[in-house]
Amino acid sequence: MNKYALNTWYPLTWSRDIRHELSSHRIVEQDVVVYRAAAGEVVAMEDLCPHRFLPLSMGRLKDDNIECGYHGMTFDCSGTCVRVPGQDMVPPKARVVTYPTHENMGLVWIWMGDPELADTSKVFDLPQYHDPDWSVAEGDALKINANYISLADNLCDPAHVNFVHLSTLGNSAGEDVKIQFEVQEDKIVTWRWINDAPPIPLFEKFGNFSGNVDRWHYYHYYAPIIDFGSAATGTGAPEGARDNCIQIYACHFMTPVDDGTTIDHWLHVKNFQADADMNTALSNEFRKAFLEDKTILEAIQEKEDQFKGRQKLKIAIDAAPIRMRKMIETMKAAEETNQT
Amino acid sequence: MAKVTYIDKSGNVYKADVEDGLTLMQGAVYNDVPGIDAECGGACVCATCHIYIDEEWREKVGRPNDVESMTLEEVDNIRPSSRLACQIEVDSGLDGLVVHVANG
Repeated sequence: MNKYALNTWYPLTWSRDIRHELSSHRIVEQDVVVYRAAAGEVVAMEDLCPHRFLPLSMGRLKDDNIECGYHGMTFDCSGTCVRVPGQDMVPPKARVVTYPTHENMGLVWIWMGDPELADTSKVFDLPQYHDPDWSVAEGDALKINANYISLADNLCDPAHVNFVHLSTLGNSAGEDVKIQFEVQEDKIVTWRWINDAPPIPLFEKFGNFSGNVDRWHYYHYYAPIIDFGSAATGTGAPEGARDNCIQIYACHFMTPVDDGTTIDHWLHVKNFQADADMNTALSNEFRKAFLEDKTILEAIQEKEDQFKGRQKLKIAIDAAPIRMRKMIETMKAAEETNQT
Repeated sequence: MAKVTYIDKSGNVYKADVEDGLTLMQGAVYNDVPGIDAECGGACVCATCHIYIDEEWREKVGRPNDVESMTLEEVDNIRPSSRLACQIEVDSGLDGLVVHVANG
């Protein structure tokens, strides 16, 4: 079976980082050369000259064409060869594979599978991202030396917050509160409510709460690589009243680079306005929290490599991560069936 | 000008009018005959325009020179009738020529 689901939109990199210049990116173990064409669209193609296999990213961008840095074979935005220095005739089959791209939520998304199936209306979108009552702050491209499924585990898992993020997103309240989850068509929601408890450090700093709060923490996972954690805090949760809460979506858009590398593109969207200083302060809190996850996931990856095939213990809080893995396997199996 | 018949590996027939001075490779590429990739553009380097000349035309078309023979040594489906289409210039003397494309 394929190692990765391919017929899906993957986040490749921040839009802010793609300019009219060549850059190389690795995703699902493929190297892709990317640039922004003069008209603004993002061009992505296999980072390989079909002549001697020099990465095209080592060449030059000439107008909207890539000129290979070795012998000057030149390819246009569609990957078609338009020039072979030293011969009059361009071989009709000389071309480079291109990949569909689309931009949304500050990111360049790429389709590594069957291009016929690439439907840009299916690119992930969080409506609140565009809502003027909410505000957005972009985060980092956090490189984690761990498999993306390990990060996805972490993002279907509110239980780790009590133990990993004690200085930011968690406290000891609610350690024993049961995790709930629901499997939907292409997503898994995992959550728990911790009511009448002290606010977590993040909301202590930014929430202006006095006394105990109700906190609800949801993870929305869309297979295979999208997750946003919704952390909301207010009062009145048991009665279903959530109007006066502060709510933050911490979005994670995972780029599976290879077996042991993932880039977590994260940003946050919140139901209040913030100035640059406050956004920076909030981002610093998230950055600290996600580095805590990175430390954990990288240590686990080392042990997984050391103890390949060794069975892991499965406990109650694993119910959602197990179904997440199953969902990815089902996606990959469907692609194989459709191919044959 | 010559009327040239190209037959691809699957047996499909392509009839082309090829101007004097063009090569059989150019005649194939300009008429979208499959199996003639012409990577080197006619420099006798890549052997991706490998064809077989029909028995009765072999004399008229001629034999490969040393350079072409060396390039042909690189192909794995070589036969006595093998030629590189880029090395055969067309004139009216080849009107009616039939060639078989070696690669699919």
